[in-house]
Amino acid sequence: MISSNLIIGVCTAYVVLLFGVAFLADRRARRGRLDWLQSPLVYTLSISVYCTGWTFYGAVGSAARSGLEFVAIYTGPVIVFIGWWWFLRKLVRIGRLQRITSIADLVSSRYGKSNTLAVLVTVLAVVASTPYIALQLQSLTLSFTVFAPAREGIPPDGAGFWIAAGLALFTILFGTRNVDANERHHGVVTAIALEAVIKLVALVAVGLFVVFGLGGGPGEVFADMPPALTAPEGFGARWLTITFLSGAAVVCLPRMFQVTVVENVDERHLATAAWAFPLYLLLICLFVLPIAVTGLRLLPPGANPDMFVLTLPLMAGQDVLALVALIGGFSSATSMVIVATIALSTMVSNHIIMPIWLRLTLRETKTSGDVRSMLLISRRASIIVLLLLGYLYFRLSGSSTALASIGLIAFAGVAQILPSLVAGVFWRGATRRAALAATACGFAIWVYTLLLPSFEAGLGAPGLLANGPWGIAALRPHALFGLEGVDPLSHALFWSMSVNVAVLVGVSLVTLPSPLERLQAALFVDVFRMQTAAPGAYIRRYATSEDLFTLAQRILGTEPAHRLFTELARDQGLSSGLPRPDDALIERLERELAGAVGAASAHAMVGQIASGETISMGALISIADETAQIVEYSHRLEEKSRELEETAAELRLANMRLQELGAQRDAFLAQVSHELRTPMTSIRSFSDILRENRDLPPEQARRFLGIISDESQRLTRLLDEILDLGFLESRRVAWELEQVDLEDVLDRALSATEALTARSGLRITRSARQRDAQVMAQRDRLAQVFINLISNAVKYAGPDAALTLTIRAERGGITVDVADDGPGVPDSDREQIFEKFARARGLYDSRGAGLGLPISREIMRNFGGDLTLRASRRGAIFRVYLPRPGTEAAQRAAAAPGSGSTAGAATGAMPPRAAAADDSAPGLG
Amino acid sequence: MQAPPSAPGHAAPPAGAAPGDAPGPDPGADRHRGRQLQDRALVLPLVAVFLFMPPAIRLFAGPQTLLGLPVIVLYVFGVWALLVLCAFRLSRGLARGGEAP
Repeated sequence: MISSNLIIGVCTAYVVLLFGVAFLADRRARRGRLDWLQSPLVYTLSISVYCTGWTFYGAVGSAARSGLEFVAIYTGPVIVFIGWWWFLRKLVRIGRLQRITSIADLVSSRYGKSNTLAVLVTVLAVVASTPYIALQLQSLTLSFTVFAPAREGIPPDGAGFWIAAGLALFTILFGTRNVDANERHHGVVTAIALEAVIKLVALVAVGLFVVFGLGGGPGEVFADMPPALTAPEGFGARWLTITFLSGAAVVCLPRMFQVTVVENVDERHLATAAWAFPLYLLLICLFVLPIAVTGLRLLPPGANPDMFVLTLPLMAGQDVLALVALIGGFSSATSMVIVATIALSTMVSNHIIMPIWLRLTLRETKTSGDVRSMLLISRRASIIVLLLLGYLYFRLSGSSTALASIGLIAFAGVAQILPSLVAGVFWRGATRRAALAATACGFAIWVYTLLLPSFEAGLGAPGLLANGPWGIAALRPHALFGLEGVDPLSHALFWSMSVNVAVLVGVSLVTLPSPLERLQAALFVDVFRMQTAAPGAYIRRYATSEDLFTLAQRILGTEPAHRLFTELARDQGLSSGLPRPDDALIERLERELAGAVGAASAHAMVGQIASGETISMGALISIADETAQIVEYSHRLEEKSRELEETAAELRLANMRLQELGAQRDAFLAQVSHELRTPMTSIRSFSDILRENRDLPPEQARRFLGIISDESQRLTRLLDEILDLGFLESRRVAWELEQVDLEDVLDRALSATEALTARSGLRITRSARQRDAQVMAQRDRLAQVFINLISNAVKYAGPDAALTLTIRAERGGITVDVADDGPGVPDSDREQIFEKFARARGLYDSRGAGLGLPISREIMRNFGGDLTLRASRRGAIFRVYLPRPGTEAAQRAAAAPGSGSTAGAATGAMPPRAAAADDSAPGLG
Repeated sequence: MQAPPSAPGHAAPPAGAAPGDAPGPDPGADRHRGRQLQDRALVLPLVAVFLFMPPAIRLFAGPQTLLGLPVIVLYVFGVWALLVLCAFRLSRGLARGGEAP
């Protein structure tokens, strides 16, 4: 018989060994010697935390009661792991890219970083896991009582307490060293891997001993197996249910998610675990049925089948083997509790305590408060509270039968997260509200149909199961709406999963996700496609580098924050100082913080110091699915073709203008030749007459010579005008503008035309003199314009016409209206009179060449002003506009007219126009 | 005016299969093999579900034995071992194949 002191001694020694291994591994990792600590083997062994004390002892009990049903606990994980390419690989990739800290974090991050959802998942996980932790404590104390009945000195409850306390110490020591929850806990993982080896060795050793030592070979062992254990009835609805639940649990259980996704450092490790973990499970299961069958055969009928692993070696007197088995069970239970409390404490501190703290210290978060120590303290406190809860649950529930089924109940509880999780990574359409409603509904049904009935005895309502609440039979927890004849587990799973999935799909189809949700959905669903795209910069925010640095310092610690910012600055190509706070940097920082405090809290904290958060439509489109991208692509093509069309139209217009210009030039040349030819012809003919007829009477000869002289003068004037116009239009020379008084210029023009007007009887009325009529111009050229206008009036207004000169000061300049009461200009000719040789259209100028108005307009435009013909009912009103000195138009005219086009006024090359000229008729262009 | 551009005809020109960027004897076969490996990874869990789930597994349940061992025990652990073997070979192939779509 083994003394209780020996048991205590062995267990203590084992615990010391675990502490030592964890300590050494942690130290090794800190020194950067990671080699085998990061091997796929350690990763796989750490995943075997799936096998708890419940499976270590309980699987044999289950096999003794229901045959191969216990295998269903493992078929689910086997299917999930060999199907890693489908699902786990995606989770691991997302977990790494988004720096996911827990399953609650993943779900909340996917659904728009919703903290409400994170809280719901956390509460669900805590509610489901607390009894599960209690189950481990129970299996531990139960195993001790097998060796040393209570009267020998170990009170089982006391043992439970000290175990819980020891586990809390271990978890706090090695599980909360870093604030970064996304970082690997090397010490813990290594200790867990060691425990995985121990429990496998223990079970296989007991199995080998039972089969070959006690049973006499495999054939003998199975010879008198009860036939009920292999009956086809064992593979019905319950088999299906348990397989599904175990498959869901291996992903959704907080501790499984922790070791599989959060602690994963290399995706390739998953490829190894994909076959190694099923192999591990196979080895664990191999001897379960033989042990159960042998136990049933050899042990007295009243023996607890859950303890066959211990009682069989003890019965055979193999004390050492029994001790090894005890240590194996101890390992299974402790490793589960350690990892589960780490995972749960991260969730509780990140999603419940942190948001509350953030809200409480909203005002001073920017400046003060060390988030880091708060975070660590809250994690440590959570660990203690969680273990205390588990211990209390174990003490209060007491009876072992109540706890026996709690493992599967916990599976069914966390399975409620599965629909939102799967939809979250495969379906963009799943929305936050849908996930919230679905998880809440599934949770509620699970509590009602499975969790509540499990402590019926403690509730003091014994009639609930049999009769339903208030005697309503349709609401009986195990036969909801009359669904009878199904075992409670399948019943609960059916209702909770159906409602869960239905609500998730239904609500998703009628609610609209926010931009942040859509962004996260795209990042999660298309994680394999997105990784090639540049990370970050989907969300536009503004913050200062100093604020960001302070925030990082307070959460990550001074040294890591400094390292991070130096690296960021280097990435931006800066040699010193803080990096630029662009969108990509803020997003990167938020991800880093999410690795410590979870996505929702990180988002909220960054949101406190960054302003103006928007998610651009362009960013959403760029990460949209392929259909949307094709639509966007064709949309862009359409836009481009429209642009091309517009360009083509512009080109066509320009071409038309060019052709017009060419035609005008041809017409101009023809006109010029014609104009030159007329005087030339008369000069030639008269000089011929003079040469050939020497006996002409002198007075006739003088008259002829007078005509020749007149005609050559006209020719000279014409050539002068053409040269002048060409000079004006080309604008090659910057004109020297001076400040002149407009009234003076008008005086000069009137006196120059006095003889002309007197002869034609033109009556001239002039408006009151303006005092301040200063403009920027050239005196002579300006006078030329007015002389031209007055002589035009003489020419076209007919005899005894009236001419009104009105000077008006306008906003930016001065206008002079020259109005006569003649026949005016027909609308069709309004612009054409400014063209060269307008006489071709019947506006014959008997003495000029028809270049007066084009020249005048060119002069005005060179001054930065304009000459236009105003619309009027009677007579012609020419408006001369000049900018005042100092205005923009005047300066422009004075500064650089040299670059003007050679096309000239008549072709629509617009001079700088002033506001006052807006009512003028538009040019040809 | 010109004729209006025909919008759908111009939209999304096919990128076209990159013509033979690998100089090997049959580049298509390599790519196909990678694709095939991934397809196998997708099919394997389906096979597992089929073999482990009721209609199929019930065929082997019952009192019959083979070499003194219950047939159902041999079946369950045999399938299990086979799945582990397949997953082993597959994961090695996929790890060598590198990155997937």
